[in-house]
Amino acid sequence: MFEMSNEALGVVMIGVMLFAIFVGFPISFTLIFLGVIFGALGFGIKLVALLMTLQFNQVMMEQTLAAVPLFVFMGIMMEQAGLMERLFRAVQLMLANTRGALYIAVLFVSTIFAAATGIVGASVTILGIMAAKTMNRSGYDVRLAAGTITAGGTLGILIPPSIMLVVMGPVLEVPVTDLFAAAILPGILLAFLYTGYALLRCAIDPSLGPVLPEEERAENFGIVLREFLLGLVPPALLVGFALGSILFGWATPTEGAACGAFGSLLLTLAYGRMSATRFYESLIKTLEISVLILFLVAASNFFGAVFSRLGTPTMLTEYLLGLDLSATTILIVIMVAIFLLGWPLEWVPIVLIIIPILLPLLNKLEINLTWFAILVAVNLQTAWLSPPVALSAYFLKGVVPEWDLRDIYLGMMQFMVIQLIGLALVMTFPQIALWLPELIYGSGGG
Amino acid sequence: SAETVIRVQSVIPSSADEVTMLNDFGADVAALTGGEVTIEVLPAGAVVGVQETLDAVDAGLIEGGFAWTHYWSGKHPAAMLFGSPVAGAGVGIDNIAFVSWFLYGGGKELYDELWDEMGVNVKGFMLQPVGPEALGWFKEPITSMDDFRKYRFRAPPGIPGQTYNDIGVAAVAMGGGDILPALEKGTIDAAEWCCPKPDSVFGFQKVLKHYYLQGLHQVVVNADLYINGDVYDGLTDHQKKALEVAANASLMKSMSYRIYENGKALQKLTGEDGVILHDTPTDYFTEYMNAARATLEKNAEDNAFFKKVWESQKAFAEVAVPFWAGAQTSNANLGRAFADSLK
Amino acid sequence: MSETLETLDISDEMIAERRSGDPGDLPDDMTPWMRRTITVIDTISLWSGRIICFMLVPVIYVMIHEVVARKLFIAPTLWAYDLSRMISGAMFMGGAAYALMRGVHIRADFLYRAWSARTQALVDATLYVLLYFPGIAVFFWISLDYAWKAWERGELSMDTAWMAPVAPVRSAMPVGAALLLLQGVSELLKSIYAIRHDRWP
Ligand code: NA
Ligand code: NA
Repeated sequence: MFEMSNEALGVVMIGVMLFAIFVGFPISFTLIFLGVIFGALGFGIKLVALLMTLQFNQVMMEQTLAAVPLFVFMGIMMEQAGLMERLFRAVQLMLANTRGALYIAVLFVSTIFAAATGIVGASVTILGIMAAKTMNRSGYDVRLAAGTITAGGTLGILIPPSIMLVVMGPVLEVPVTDLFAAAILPGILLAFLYTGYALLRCAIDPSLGPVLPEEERAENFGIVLREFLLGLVPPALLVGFALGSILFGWATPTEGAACGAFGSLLLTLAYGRMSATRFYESLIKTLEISVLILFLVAASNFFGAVFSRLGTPTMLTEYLLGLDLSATTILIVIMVAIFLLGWPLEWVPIVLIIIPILLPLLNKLEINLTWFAILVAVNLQTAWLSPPVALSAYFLKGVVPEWDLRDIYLGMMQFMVIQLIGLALVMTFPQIALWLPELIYGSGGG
Repeated sequence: SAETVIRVQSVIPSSADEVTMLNDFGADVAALTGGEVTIEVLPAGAVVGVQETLDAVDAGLIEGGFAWTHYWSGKHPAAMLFGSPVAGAGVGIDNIAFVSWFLYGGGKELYDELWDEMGVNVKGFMLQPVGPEALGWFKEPITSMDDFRKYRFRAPPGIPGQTYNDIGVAAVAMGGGDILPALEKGTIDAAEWCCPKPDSVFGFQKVLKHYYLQGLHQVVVNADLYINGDVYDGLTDHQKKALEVAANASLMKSMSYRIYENGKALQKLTGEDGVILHDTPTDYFTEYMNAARATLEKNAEDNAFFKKVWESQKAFAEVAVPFWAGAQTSNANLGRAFADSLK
Repeated sequence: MSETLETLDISDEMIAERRSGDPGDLPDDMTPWMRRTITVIDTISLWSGRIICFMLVPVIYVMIHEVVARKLFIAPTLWAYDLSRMISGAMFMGGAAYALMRGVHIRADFLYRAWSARTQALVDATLYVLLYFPGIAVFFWISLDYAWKAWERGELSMDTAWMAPVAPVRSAMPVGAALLLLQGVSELLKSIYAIRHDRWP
């Protein structure tokens, strides 16, 4: 009879997983099956079912994860209430005489939105609806336009608050506050790189972003300034609720998410946009996205626990350390792998399945985990822009059906290159990520 | 004979002194059994979450677990009397006296019964007396309980924390990762964790400077090892004896190790990090002690096994504490005099 | 991925095959018993989702209460931490079946999307029968036992001073698993329809 050690069984399990999830069955359930089957082979069906129960129980009891539904609710509520649109109009009017003005407007507003919500779709759809039509009328380049909107939108999940960092914190055992602080400069850096790239293209070829036609301009600068300030109010207040409550010593990060959710309710009420339907719709959609993320968190924790119980992580770590590669080489290999996985997958499975497998190795190599988390986060920005699973493209296509999907893809991929440059910068200069948390907390976390 | 590997998942991070001493215990076991029994320590959360550790050992998902006994107070209230009898069980038992009760005052037999009362199939070994723990860290000095009550205090879990709530302290529940940022931002003003070494590893000295060593919530703290009952039953008599001997050795080694390690940490805290040591306000002791006793009385009323264990501790204390506290007073005074001469 | 403006919104974030529509919204050429079964099951899941989604309200309330009481009145609660994590934990466990009914659980579907409805359904049906039902069923049994023990022994959470009873939150596992098994039947029937007709109901 063919005998296989439990450690080897774990290796087979990972191999099978990489194929099995692409069959297309929901990933959570695929991970559960594989965990149950390989666990049953390794240590028995009863124990593996108990392991699953204990893991699900643990995820339910993890207080930091309560931030996920709260941040999702905050984003959906603001989008449903339409409170973020004024700012874009104002910025657009302000820059009317500038070449490539709408690119700047889109990226500026994306960055502000990113600081006010924790998800991606909000900015992409809102900006798609608001900016695309004007860009079309003004004769803007479709690819560059689509690229700025989609790339700007992905900042939402890097610049805090960010669901991705909330999920990554417990996985790496780094305080979410450290990750939030560490993500700010890389987020701003990317925003500048995007803007610089768009403007550079316009400088070389002015036809890519002509000045706005007369009817899109404002007559009076005073009005524009007023609109701008009024437009800044809702996102600024929301930033105040969510991040301000943490920074001013009112709330822990999880409670800060509740403050943000509460703030979005108050704002919607204050602007007279609240209705029973809108409230219910926001709640039910929040449930859907939260289940998607948290059930997958639980399923992949279970999968990882089976892997761990089989003893494979210890074996793999020892093997890789035995190869005597430098920490930098291993880090580059990991980054390439995550980048490649970002084409067919979204960030959730990558963060939840791949990172825990790597964690023992990272610890042995003494890699700073705060820095590592930010590298992964910047790297995963590309997952939003890499076809075929590039949801930013589909959000945008959904609201701007007249744009060809192929143009959207080509636009996005230009910005993927910019993101890779950003990744290389953070990798070469870890201080881009670590300076701010060290300044605030006197530590790089990790 | 066959080799037995006991994989022990800890609830404590691998860098902690508890795990260092657990590995030391493992080395003793391996040496005493000629390598037949080895203890492999898995980091917290390796296979199951920390709170699920005992359930996993009970079912045999992992062979062993390592925590503090009171970590399982949610499964049985009497676990607290073994892991961290609040305010010295209300009868003045300190950690050395606890070991005396455990080894010669009937504690060990009751400890074995605890796991049956809990309904888990494990064999426990008391390994590490690690008390007393400090009262904690404060943003400003406190001189009375009224001062203490002005601060939001990250309290310990379980009955020790409830007791703070009972005496009107603003006890806050908070995850470990949130504590330091929360202190920094003023979300909370004070916190307890453990003792000088773990506290300085945690980093409290970076944000708070006022440190109070004398506290009652965990004067006694014990960490122990649980082995799945079937795994334990599968060992030979010699191997079982080896575990027992190594465990008894660990009681003394851990206590000795911690005194020196905490001493070194405290020296650094006060000498280099600018931490100021204070005496705990005297009204704290009476208020906390009375509230703790009330909680102990109530638990004893509600639960027969709790009562049985507490009665045993009280009976032990009536005999031993007058002697031990009396002898300790001279030690404490002498020690204080020497410490003061260093200033 | 829906591509019309009305149905697309940001809650499509990461959702590949969102289905909206009412539970009874089924094609006429479906066998009546199938129709009835799917309608009943989907309605149960829909209502479970409708009820569970409101659990976010107490989560927000409890946390805001804690923040205000702690900051302004130096009167933190012992219960907010436990309640907020337990309610939001129970939400995702209890809402799993609703999410399955809505097609929300993410798929790595870039191959799957290109297949005919019949092929997709064949794959789904096979996996439901061979893996989904056995996997969720063992989870149901073991988690039921686990939750039952917590009720029986009155187990409390041990990492906070409040020491909350853990039985209610643990019960979310067998309840969620039971709802998942039920919704699985509906999904299987939908696959069977799609195998027969080469289009999804
Ligand atoms: Na954000
Ligand atoms: Na992608």
